[in-house]
Amino acid sequence: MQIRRSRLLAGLAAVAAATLVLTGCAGGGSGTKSDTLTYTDNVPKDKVTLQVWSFLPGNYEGGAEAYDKVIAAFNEKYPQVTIKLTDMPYSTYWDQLRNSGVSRSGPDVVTMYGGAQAYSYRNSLFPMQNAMSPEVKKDLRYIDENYSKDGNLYMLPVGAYGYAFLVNQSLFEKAGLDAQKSLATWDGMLQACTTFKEKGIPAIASGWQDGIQLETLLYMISSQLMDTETLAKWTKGELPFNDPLFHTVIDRVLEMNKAGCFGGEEALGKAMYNDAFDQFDAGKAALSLGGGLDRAENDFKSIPSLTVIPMPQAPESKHENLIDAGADAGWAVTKWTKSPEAANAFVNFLAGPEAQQILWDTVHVVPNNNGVDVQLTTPMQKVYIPLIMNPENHTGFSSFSLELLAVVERNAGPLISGKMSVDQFFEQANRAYEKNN
Amino acid sequence: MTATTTATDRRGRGDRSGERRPRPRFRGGLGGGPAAMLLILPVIVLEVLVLFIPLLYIAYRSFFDWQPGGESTPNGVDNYIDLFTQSEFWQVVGNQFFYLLGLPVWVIAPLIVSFMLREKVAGSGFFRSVYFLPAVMSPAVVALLFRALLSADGPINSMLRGVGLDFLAKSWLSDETTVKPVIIILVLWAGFGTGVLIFSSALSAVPKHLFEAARLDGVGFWGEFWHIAVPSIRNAVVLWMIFQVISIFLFMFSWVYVLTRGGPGLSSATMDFLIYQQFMKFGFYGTAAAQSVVLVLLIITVAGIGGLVTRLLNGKKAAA
Amino acid sequence: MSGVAVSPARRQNSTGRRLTLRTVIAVLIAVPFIVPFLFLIATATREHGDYLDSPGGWPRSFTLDHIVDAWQQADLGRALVNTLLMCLVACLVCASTSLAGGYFFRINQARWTGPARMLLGAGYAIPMVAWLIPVFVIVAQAGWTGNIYVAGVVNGVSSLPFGFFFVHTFLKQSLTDEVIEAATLDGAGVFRAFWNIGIPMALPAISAVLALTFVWSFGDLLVAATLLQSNTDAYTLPLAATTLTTREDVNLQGQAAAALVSLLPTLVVFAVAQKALKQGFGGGSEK
Repeated sequence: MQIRRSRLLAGLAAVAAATLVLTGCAGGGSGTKSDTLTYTDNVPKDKVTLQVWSFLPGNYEGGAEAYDKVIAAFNEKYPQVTIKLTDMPYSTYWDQLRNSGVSRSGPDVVTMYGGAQAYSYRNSLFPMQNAMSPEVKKDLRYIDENYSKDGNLYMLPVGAYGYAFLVNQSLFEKAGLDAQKSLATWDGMLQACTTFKEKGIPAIASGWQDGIQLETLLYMISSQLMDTETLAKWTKGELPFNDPLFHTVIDRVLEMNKAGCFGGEEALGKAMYNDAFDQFDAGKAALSLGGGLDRAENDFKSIPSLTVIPMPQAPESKHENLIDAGADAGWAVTKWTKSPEAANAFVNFLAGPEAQQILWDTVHVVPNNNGVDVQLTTPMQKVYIPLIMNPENHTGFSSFSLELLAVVERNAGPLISGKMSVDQFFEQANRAYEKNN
Repeated sequence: MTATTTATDRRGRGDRSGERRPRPRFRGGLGGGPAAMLLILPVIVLEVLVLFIPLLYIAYRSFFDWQPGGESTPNGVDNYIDLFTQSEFWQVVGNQFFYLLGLPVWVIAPLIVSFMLREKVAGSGFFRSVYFLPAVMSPAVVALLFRALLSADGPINSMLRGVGLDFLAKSWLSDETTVKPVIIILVLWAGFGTGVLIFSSALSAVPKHLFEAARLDGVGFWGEFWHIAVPSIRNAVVLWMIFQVISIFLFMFSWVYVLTRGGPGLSSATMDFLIYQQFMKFGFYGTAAAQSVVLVLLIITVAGIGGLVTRLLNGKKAAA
Repeated sequence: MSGVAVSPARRQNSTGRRLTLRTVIAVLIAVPFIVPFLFLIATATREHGDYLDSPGGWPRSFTLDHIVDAWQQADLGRALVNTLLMCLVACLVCASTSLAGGYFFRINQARWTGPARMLLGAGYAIPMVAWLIPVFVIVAQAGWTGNIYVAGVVNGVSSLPFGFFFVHTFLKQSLTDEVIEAATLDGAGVFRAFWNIGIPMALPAISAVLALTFVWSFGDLLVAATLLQSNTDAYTLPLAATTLTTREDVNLQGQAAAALVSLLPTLVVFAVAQKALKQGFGGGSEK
């Protein structure tokens, strides 16, 4: 086994470099020395290549081509920057991102959720609050609620979602109900659930095993109950999870359960992804919790009576027509990038009107930039987009810490089935919340 | 117990009976001298580089508030104290020991079946291949399938209702009293074929005359099994046992993660699941490092106790 | 006697009875193994509408679309080649070093070898997450991410403690002192003996190690995801299969289709190696 000398030296160099990285002596490895990113129009003219990681192109039919178009448009302005966008598999994405954070190498630009998720990757990301171009700063929505609790904005929010009910109106008719009327009020919704239960039709397609449904309901109802000041407190980490607000949320969820909204024991063994969705897609449930336009569009093909109706405001809601809506995802710049100006330019471009316009026009990614001209063409768009764009909307979604969400997710089944009491739930959840605050 | 004669025993007894051969540091003609060390060198080098040094590094980091790319401040045993004061940690440790309860069935079931398959079964090779199917199916996909199979309105419950056993039909994976036993059965399912294979092969090497002699004595199926078969393949049984113990601690992750996510609550979670969560999901690197160290120590302790118990039992048997 | 139905029938002298009963039991045991396998095939080959209608029910349709789609979308063909290459490297690394190591412990009975063997074997008990991350850092700094040969070596090493321990156990039973002495009688060195005697005698055990390392490396996701990162050209089958799951859609049917594709090569290797596996574990003392 002859090891060529060059290989051997390379190997030793690697071990040395790795030791430096692992012992933290290199202070972040190669990359910029500054700790902040400031927006600049001046991207160096040297040829650079940016590695970009994302799972977003795979989310949409034709997503890869759409992003190619975006990259082409970017290159018209910055021909010296070559973008290598890799569509990463979603199930391994966050782990691979962790790994690159430990090795201080890999991508230059990454897809990243804001708030708590970004905070847990904070050692890998540049704070971007000073890195936004003036246009982006002016026109981009959902910036404030994506700040992390240390006061940094680690990503630029891009895209928009909004949680509402996907409604199979023909099933409502079958039960003798009018969907719009039933879902206009909270009590109306509960009544409808009870009626569905009596008729043996599942009301809301449900699955508790992965716990995401409880999370979603948590976002939907807590956003209704929060006014702007409360949301600001929550974003800063100054609102404990034990607050009466969240108790009310859980009480309302359990109230919905009692009314028969979520079906019975069979929902315990199902997961929201994908069992509950499949159940709705097969036309077997009257309602489904939906967050994205693309799902509504897809389902519309098999459910002609589909429409989108917001969840009615709970009695304690501080709003009129709010739905939980916010940024779909975001983009961030990694700290070990060798070309921070180019990377920042790309992130700003992605957040900007031109890129979001392309994505809207080609694959109907809902934009969060006010500079995008949103033409509504399909029935689903005409119903859904106004709901999402309602300026009343906000969400505290990104400030739910990952440990808190883990507790919520794993205890969803026991809480709904009654095996876990509300007090026990909050005790565990608040403990997880305190850990981070 | 004449059946236990093996090459090993013969050599061992030969040594103790005081063969004239001297015992130098390297056994003369067999040891091959220092040059022979080259044979073991690759194993040592590879294991040290890839397994042991990284483990030592992780252990080192477990005494820090490890923040890769940021400030890692040393915090002594805080990570460990944090770990041991979490009720979740103890619940998961309890889960691991509950899973260990499955060890007897994981060992005995394939043992009996492989003995049964030894003779008088048409197409035993075919059966062994069928039993081995789980080993070649990826755990993630299989776990998804089983979730579907075991769901409240899934095929298994439908079948139970079909034969009138309605009261048994339930959401097996959503009930914390049934989820762990169900996982024990699934682990049995997953490892059964490999166990059968190991034991079948071991049995095929046992001299046939031992069984024939026992049969002439009229010992019966179980007599042959307990008194001839099992002692003859003791090494294989111990190897399989150790393998299963290690599997409990190290190889259950992909199962549990997809099947139940550790749920309901944490009632089916394993330690490697916790480590994964701490490391990957939350980015609590220091705690994850401490947990890894604790896990390694736990495995060594359990395996060590198991080894001692086996030796004691063997000693008892030899004395009997 | 325990209450197993076998016993009373066994007492009877009719061999025909015994044959049928054992075979029947074997068939009964085979059912819970075949059913999930059939379920996998059904899930992968049902039309989507049929599947949605009753995910856990009887299939009422058959289509190869999912397999074709999975093959194209996830580039399973290339992934298959990558995986086979990677497994080849893993098998070579594991088998060669296990062979040498197992043989060493067979011939060297010095006191320190016992504890050394236990320590090296204990390497198997280290959780992969603990050792893989530092290894990954080194690999990343060397610029070797996205390299299936590196992934192969790492996979090989992960099975190494099991491999050498197993070869040693086998040789302990099958390779007698006399044979070793005979090989070294004419002054031939250790390596000559290793070549002439050690390797041939250990062949059954090595076939076993090869087959198991192959199966384990083939199905590995963790090492692949960690080391191959964003080099989609180098993705192995399990990693390529994960690309079929998006944020919005678990895509069980696609996953099942990809799993079927993965199954075939491993089944083939296993069938071929079955005979060797039997000999491997059996100590080969009859041969």
